[in-house]
Amino acid sequence: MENGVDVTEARPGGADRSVLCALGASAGGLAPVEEFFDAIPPDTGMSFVLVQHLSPDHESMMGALLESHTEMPILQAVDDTQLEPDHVYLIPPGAEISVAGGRMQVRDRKLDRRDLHRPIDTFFTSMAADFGPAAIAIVLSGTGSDGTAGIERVRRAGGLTLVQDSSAAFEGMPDAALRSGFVDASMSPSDIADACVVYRETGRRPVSQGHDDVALTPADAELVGLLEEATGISFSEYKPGTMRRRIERRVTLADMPDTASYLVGARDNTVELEELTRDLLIDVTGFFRDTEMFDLLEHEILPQLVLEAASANDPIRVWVAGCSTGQEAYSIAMLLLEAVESLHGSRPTVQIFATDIHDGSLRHATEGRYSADDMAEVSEARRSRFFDELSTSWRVKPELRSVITFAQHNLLADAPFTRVDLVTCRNVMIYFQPSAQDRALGAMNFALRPGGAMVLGSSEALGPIEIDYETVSSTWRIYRKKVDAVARSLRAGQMGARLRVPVRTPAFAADQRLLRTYDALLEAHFASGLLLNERRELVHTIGGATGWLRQPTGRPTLDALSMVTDANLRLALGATLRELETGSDRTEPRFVVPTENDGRAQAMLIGETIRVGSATHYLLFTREVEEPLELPPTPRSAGVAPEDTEYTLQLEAELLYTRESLQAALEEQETSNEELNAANEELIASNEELQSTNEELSSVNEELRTLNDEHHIRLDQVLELSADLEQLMSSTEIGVVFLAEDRSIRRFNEPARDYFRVREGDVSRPFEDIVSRLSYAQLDEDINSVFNGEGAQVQTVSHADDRARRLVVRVDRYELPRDRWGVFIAVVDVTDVVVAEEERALASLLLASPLVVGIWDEDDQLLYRNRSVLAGELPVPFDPEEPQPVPLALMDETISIAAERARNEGATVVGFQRAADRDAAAEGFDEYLFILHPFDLVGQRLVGAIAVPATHVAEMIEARAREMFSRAIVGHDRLSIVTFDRNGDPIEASGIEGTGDRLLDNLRRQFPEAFDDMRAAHLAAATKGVPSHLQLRGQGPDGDPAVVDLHVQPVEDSLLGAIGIGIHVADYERQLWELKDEVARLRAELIEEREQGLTRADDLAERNHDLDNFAHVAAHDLKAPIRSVRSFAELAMDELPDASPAQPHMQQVVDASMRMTSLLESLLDFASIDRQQPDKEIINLTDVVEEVTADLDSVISQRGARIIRPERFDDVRGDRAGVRQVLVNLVQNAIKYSDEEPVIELTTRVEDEGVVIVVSDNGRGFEMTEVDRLFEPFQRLHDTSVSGNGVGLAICKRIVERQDGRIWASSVPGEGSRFSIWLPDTDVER
Amino acid sequence: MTTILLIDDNGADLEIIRRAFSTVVDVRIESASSAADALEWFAAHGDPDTLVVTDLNMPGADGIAVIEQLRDLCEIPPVTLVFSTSARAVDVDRAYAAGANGYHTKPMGFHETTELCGQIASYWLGSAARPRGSTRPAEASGVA
Repeated sequence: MENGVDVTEARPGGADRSVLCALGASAGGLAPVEEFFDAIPPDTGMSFVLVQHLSPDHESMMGALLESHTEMPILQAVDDTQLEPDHVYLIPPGAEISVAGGRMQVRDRKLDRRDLHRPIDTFFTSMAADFGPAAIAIVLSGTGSDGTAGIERVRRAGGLTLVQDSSAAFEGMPDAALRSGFVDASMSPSDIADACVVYRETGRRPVSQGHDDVALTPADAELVGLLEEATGISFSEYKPGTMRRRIERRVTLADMPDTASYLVGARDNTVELEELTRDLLIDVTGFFRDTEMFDLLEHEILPQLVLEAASANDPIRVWVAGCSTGQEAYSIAMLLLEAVESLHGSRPTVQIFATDIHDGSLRHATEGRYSADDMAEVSEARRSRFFDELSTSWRVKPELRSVITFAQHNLLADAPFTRVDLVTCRNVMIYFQPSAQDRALGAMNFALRPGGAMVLGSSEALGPIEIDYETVSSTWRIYRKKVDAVARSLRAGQMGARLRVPVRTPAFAADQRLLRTYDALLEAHFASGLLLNERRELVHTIGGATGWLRQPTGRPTLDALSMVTDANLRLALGATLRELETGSDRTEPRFVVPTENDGRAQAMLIGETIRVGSATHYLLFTREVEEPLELPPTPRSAGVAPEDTEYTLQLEAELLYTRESLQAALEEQETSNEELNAANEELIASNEELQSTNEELSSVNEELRTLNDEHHIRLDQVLELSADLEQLMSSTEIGVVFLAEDRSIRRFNEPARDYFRVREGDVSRPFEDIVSRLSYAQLDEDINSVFNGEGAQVQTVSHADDRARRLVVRVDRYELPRDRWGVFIAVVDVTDVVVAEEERALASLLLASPLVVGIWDEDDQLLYRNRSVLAGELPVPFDPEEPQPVPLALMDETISIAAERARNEGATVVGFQRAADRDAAAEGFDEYLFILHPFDLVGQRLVGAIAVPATHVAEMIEARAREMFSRAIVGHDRLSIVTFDRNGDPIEASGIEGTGDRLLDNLRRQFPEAFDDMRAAHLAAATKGVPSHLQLRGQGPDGDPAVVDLHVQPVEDSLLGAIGIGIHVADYERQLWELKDEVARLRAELIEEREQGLTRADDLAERNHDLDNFAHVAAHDLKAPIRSVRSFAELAMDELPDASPAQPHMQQVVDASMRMTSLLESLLDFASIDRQQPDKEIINLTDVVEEVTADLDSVISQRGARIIRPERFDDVRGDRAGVRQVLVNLVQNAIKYSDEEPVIELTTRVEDEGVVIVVSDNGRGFEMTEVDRLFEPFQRLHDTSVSGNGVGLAICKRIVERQDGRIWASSVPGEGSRFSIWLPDTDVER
Repeated sequence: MTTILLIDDNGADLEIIRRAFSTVVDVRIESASSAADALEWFAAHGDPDTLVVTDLNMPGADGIAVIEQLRDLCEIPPVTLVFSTSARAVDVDRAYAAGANGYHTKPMGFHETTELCGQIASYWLGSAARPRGSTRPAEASGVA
C-alpha cells in the first residue's frame, strides 16, 4: 500500500453472504468480458453483474454472445430479485441498476439530458454500500471515466477493485480508474477472473502492479512547470495518476487532441491555466459530507473539545486543511457554535482556520454564498440560524463568517498553525505522493495540541505518526492525539527544502503582449515609472525610476513600496496605489517633492491601472513639472518639526481622502461583486451544463461503440451465415430460384439450371421469360397465387426431359427485412426417394410374402430371412424360428450345387426340388421351386434364395399366364382395349407401348363421328348391361379405307366407377391376312411340335424301322415254304389221276397257299413303303387319273363302273408314284365296295396352301364310328365276300402322310363315302 | 452241249425249278445247293453254252457273288439269270449291276413256274443267240 490508500482489510463475506462481482465494460468490452467468463469457473458461488453502456433503443445481444462462454445462467436483471450465486446478470437497456439488501434494483433510466448516465458508477456505488468487502469491482475496456468514482467507493468500503491492463482496446475507463489510486491491480481479464476466485476463497488481494508506472508525459511535466510558474503551487508532489487524469479532462474539455496541443494553447491562456489549477486541486466537498462522521464530531468530539477549551479558558482553535470552497469549514463552524452555545457558563471563542492552496476556491469560501443545491444537507434550522436567503442562493451570516479565517496555505510548504484543537484534512492527501503525505501529516501533527482530534479522509491513514494517536473511529478516520505525545519537529530538512521560495520573476510569466504594451508605454511617456502587479510587487522599472529604488537590508523583497527610499515619494506612491486599487483607472496627478531632493526635482505622480486579460497591473509614473511649485522653504535646522507637522497634516488629509474613497470603493465593489457573482454563477452553470452534455455525449459515444461491437459480431455472424448458405446453395441438390416482388429473378443456384433454363445473366430478368424444363403447366398460375398471398403451393411433377424423374416443386413466400418479401421456387428430385419408397414397400411386401426368402453372404452365413408363413411348411430349413440358420451349402445337395453356380457364375439359377423328407411329402409340400439369385453388395457376392412350395408355383404360373395375356393384348396393334368413364369419354387405350394414345388420336382423326357412336354404344351397353356392336368406317392413316369393329362390353367396376369397353379395331383385308398368319404360325408350331415328337419318338422310329425290316424279311421268307406247298400240291395234282379222291384236297392246299401268298404280298407292300420323304414334283393329276383308269380298265369294264372327272384338275405337288398308288387303291376300293353300278367322282380344290383331292362314290359306305379304324392296317369293315386284305387304306394313309399331307373320310352308310386327300404346296426341288 | 446250272440253297425250290425245266426242255440240268458248289462245278465242267439260273439270297456267297465271280472267271461270262423271291427294286438293280442277264421273281406255283421256264427256254435256248467263244477261265485256278 505504498500509495497510502489504507482501507479496511476485511475478508469477503464467506459462506453467509455471497460475493458480488460487478464488471463495468463499455467500448471494446466484449472481448475481455468473454475472456473473463471463459476463465471463471461456473461454481465459484459468486454472483456476477455486467454493467454496460447500452443504447436504450436496442436489445442487447450480450446474453446470446456470452452463452457460449459460461455455463452459468445469464439473466437480464429484474427489479427486486434476489441475487443468486453462480448467475450472471445483465443490465437491461434503458435502465439503471443498483443493488440494495442483496436484491437487484432496476430503474428506468431518466432520459433527462442533464442526468449524467454513469451506470457503472451507479452500480458500483450501491454495491460498495451493500456488499462492502464482499464486493468486487472490475473495470474493463471503455472510453471515458465511468466506473472511476465507483471503484473509489468500493475500495473504500473494503472491496476488491481490479481493472483491465493494456490489453483493453479502449484504455480510457481502466486508466481513469487506475489513476484514482483505488485500484488493487491491473491485469488481463483471465488473471482478473483468477484473482476474483482467489479473493473469494482466501480474501487475498492480487499483488498490485502497474499503476505506479503511470508517469507524466513530457507534455504533462511541462504543463506542471507552467502551472507552478503561474500559480506558485508545485504539483510535483501530487500523484502522477491524478495529475494525468485531471489534465486529460481539461484537454478533452478544451477539445484538444493531446496534452502537447493543449499545452501550446494553455501557455498564453491564464484562464485555462486557472481552470486547470482548480481541477487539479478541487475535490468534492459539501455541507456535512459524510453525515455519520459529522454526527460523531457533533456528539462526541466537539462537545469534549469545547469543554476542554472552556475549562482551560482558551479559545477553541480548528484547522480545516484543504477547505476548498468552504462547506466543510462552515459545517464545523456551525457545529462548534452550537456546541459552544449549549455550554453554560463561560463560552470559549471559536477560531477556525480554513486553508487551501487555491485562492479561487478561497474566494468562493470567503464570499460564503451557496446555491440551493449546495444547501441540501443543511437542516432547516441551521439554514435560518446561519444563513441569509438570497433570491437563488444562500449567504452565510456574518456571525458564522466571522469565526472563520480563510487563508491561502500550502500544506506542504507553508508553516502550520499551532495549538490547534482539531485538524481536519479530508481527501487531500490521497492526491499526494507518499513522501508528501508524510510531510503533510507532520505539519498537522505539529499543529495539533496533545489531546486534540484529527479527522482524515476515509482512505487516508496516519502513517508514521500513528503511534501518537488513538483511534476514535476507524471507519471515519477520527483520531485523538495522545496527551503524552512527544512533540515532533516538522522534519525541518524536508520542510526546509519545500520552504524555499522560488525566486519568481513574474516577468517570465508575462506574455509578449504585455511586453509590447510596455514598449508602447515607454514610447508614450518618456518618464520614470514603476510597473507593479496586484500585490504591489515590482514588475518593471521604467526610465529613471531605478533611482527611486533600493533593496532594503535583510531579506530581499519585491514589495515596491518597501523598496522606495524616499518617504514623500513612498507616501505619494502609496496614496496613488490605494486610489488605483479602489478601482480608479487613472489618478489625478499628485504633486511630489522628493525629500532627498533639493527642491528642484519636482514631479507629478500619476497612477494608471492597466488590465491585460485577467491580470491587472499598476503603472506609476512621474511627469516633469514645467513650472516647479514654489514650496515653502523647508526648515533644515532644529529637527523636523515643521516637516512633521506638514507630514501629519498631509497624512490626515490623505487618510480622509482614503476613507472616502474606500467607502466609495467598497460600495462600488459590492455591486460589481454581485454582478460578477451572478455572471460567475451563470458561467458555472453553463459550464456544468456543457460538461454534463459532454459526458452525455461521450456516454452515448460509448454506447455507440458497444453497439458497433455488437454489430460487428452480428455482421460476422451474418457473413458466416451467408457463406454457409452460399455453400449450401451451391452444394445442395435442391434447385432454388428466388424471385423479387416484381417477379424478377433475385438469385438462383446451380442445381436450378437443371429445372429452368437460367443463365448467370438472367438475374433480375422476369421469371416468366425463363423456359421451364418441368412438366408443370400451371407453374405460372401457382406462382401467381403465391404472389397473391394464397400460401405455399406444392406439386409433384416430372421432368420434361426424363419422365421417370419425379420432382417436388414448392413455391412459397418468405419474409425479407423491412417488410419486404420474396418468393422462392424449390425443386427437389425425389426420384431416389420414390424408388427407395418402392423398394421399401417391396421389402415389406417381401417380409409378408408367402415366398420364403433368405440371403446368405460370401461365407455362406445367413444375413436375412423373412418370416414367411410358409417357412415352416417347406422341407428346407428356411424356418426363421430355427436358432441356428443353416448355410446353403449344408441345406440340400441340389441347392448347394445351385448356390455354388449362382456364386461362381453370377447367374440366376432356378431349380425344382423334390423333398427328401417323407414327412414333408406327406403334408403335400413334397415339391418346391427354388430360385437362387446372386447380387453384389459392398464388395460381397451375396446369394438370395427364394423357395416356393409347388402348389404356389401353380398359382404363380397362372398369374404369369394372366400377365402374358394382358401383355399380349397391350402389345397388339390391331386389337385395342379402350376404357371409358361413366360419361363415355375414353380414359385409356391399350396398344403397343406408347401407341395407346396414338390409337385414340387415330380414332379421333379417322372416325370423327366415332366418339359419338362410341358414346351411344357405351350408353346402350351400360344401360342395358349387354354387349353392343357397331362398325365404324373411315380412312386409315395411309388413306386406305378402314373399318373398325367395335364391340362394347360393359364391365361394372365399382371401385373405379367406370365402365370398360373393348374395341376390336381391324380392316377386313388385314384381318384375313392376320388369320392366315395365325394359321401359318399355328402350323409352324404344329410342325415344330411334331418334330419334337419325332425326336422324342426316335427310338420308336428305330423300332418301327426294325419292325418294317422284320415284316419284309418275314414275308419274304414265308413265301418260300408257301410256294413249295403250292408247287408240290400242283405237281401232285398233275401226277394223280383226275378221278383220284385226293384231287379236291390237293386243290384246297393250292387255294390256301394262294390266299396266304396274297396276304403276304399285301404285308410286303405295306412294309416296303419307304418312310423317307420321297422326291416331290408337280404332278399333272389329269395324266395320273388317265393312267389309273387305264390300269383298272378290266375291273371298270367288268363292273360297268362310271368314272366322273373334270376337264382339268388342279396341279398337285408330291410323289407321283405315291399319288398314283393312292388313287388306284381308292378307285379300286370304290368299285370293290359297290353293290350296284359304281359311280365314282374325282375332284380337286385348292385349300389352305395345298390341294384337296376328293374321291367320292355311291357304295356301301361305313359308319362314322368306324372311321378311326378305317386307316388302320389289316382292318376290314366288311365281310369276306369282297376280296381284300385290309391294307389298302393303311397304305394310302402312310403314303399321304409321308408327303406331309392328310387323308380323311366321311360317309353316309348306304349312300356312299368320300375320301379326301390334302397335299401341301411344298417346295419342289425341280 | 447245252447245260442249265441251277443254284439254290432251298432244295424244294431247286427241285421244282429242275422239274419245271425238265418238263419243257430236254437239256442236261445240273443243280448246286451253294455258290461254292456251283463255281466248283463250273470250273470243272462249265462252258459258254451253260445257262446259269441262281437264287439271290443264300447263306455264304450269294447270287450277286456268283455273278461277279463268273465274270471274273471267264473272258466271256455265261448267260446268268436270277430267280429270287424278292421283288424289291433294290435287289433287281443290284443283280443287273453285277451283270445278270435277267431277273425273275419265283412264281408261287408249279404250273406258273413251268410256264416261266418254258418262256425262258424258248427264248434263251431257242431264239436268242448265246456266246460261243471259249468260256474257259483265263486262270484255271481262279476258283476259291
